[in-house]
Amino acid sequence: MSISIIYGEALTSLGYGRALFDKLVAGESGLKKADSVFDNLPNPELAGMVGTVEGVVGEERIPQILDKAFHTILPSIAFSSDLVVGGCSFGDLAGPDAGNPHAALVKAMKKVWPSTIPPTTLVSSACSSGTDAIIVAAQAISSGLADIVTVIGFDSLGAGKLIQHIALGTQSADRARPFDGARSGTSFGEACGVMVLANDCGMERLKAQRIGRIANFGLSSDAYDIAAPHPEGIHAGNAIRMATKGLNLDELGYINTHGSGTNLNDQAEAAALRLVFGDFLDQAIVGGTKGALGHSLGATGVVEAIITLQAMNNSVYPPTTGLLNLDQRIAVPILQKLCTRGSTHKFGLTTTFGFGGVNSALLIEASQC
Amino acid sequence: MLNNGIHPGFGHFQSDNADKTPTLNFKIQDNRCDPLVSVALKALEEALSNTGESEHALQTAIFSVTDTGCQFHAKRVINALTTMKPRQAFFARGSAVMFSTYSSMAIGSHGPCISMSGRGTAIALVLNLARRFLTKGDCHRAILLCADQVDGAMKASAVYFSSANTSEIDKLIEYSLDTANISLYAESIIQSFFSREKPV
Repeated sequence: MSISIIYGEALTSLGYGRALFDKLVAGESGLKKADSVFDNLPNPELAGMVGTVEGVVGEERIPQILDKAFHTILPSIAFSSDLVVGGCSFGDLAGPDAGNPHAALVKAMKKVWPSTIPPTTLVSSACSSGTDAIIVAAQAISSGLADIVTVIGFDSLGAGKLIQHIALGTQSADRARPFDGARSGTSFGEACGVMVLANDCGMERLKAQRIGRIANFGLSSDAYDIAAPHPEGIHAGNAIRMATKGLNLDELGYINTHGSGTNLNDQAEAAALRLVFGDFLDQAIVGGTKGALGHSLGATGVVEAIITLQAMNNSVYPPTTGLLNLDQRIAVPILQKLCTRGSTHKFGLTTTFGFGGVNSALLIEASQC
Repeated sequence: MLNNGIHPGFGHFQSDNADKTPTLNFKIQDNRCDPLVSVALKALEEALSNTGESEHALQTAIFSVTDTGCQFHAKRVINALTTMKPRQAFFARGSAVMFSTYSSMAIGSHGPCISMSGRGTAIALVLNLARRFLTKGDCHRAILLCADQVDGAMKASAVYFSSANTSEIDKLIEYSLDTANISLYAESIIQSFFSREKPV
């Protein structure tokens, strides 16, 4: 499969562009105390920290996030797309497009697109939405349905959504500490990531350069519980196995985990990685970004795929912010300090896992191998 | 209303009463799904019973398409927010992903599982993915589930493909992208394709 990545940028709680990557590498965090962002939380002491986008206010947030993203990170080459694939979970819980992020995306695109917008659809696979949107887009190109596809992963965190997650027990009253022995949940957030994919014909049309390649992907479902992952990570492992089939492990560089910081996710994910990689895992470079950016729900797959690619192309893997003391029950060496790319590393792997046990893994080839 | 389509793995179900969800033969421990998901599962039961197959592969891929989504659960969550009350059970089951995940739990499948919001284009994109998994041998069967709630009526169609009938997938992709069909609700597109009736 020769699907080129020709653009990828994310708007997050830590900003966007080169500054975002530099801050991640420096171990900075965009998380803020939830009660400093939302003044109407019924139990602020349980709300912990959130990764919201600077300047976005109120409950009707998707239009603001997309507007901000379209004016900062949406490249003009996106306007030549044959197809747009969005990725979002629930979206806003207020406003005319509450619970309908597809409609919100179409409206936002119509405001900035210089011509009629291309066919636009949306993947809604919970927290795997972004990764699955990239997979759907890549396959559309691979099969000849399109030459250029823009993927837009986005999602919002209002106070209304935050209280649902507090009630579900997924939001930490402390902060996201992926794979830490004291982890107590994630820190939800919001973001938008834009990735443009093309085949050779599309690249020629745009006179664009390849910055990476979608090398492979894998998908699976736990069929176990409506919210919790399968604790042994068996099926999550199958998604990772599918994505890394035939890969020379010496060529595998940065492994960007879902690493939400919930007790169940991190345990299941570590088990899945061990099942797939066996002893190799002890020498692998495994990290995560949710302690720095927050868990941006349906956007996270696109955001983290972009960061994985940037880590590979910049030859530096960011530390796992928020992790202080690795959970000794999780026998996975998680990156706590930044690390430089090894000379044999050609590929980065990113994983996401969603509510309902939907598991996704994406293998990305760096541009400078 | 049950409608036996001409395709052996096609099923359709429709209900006008959201307060009375259909009784399912599937044994799912968690039965708090949105009414439209129940209707979709009923269509899936019908599709599977029409295949005449005794076993259903563990690696079945499940893809769902909806435009209207889980309106009942979403509204309950949204309405409760006027008083900032969490309705976490409905919230967790109110996303479009529930069409696929409930289906995977119903048949115990661990194959690829994706949910899309949209209409004809969304059908074409997920079928495109289904074909890839079937032809590469990553899974041997794929289910397409389409459900929408329009003017109070909840309608769902389900189709069961095996690796032996990927040509049918190609025909359905073409049909979904036809300008006469692409803007119709996904459920309506599937229903008309398999019943050979003009879509509405």
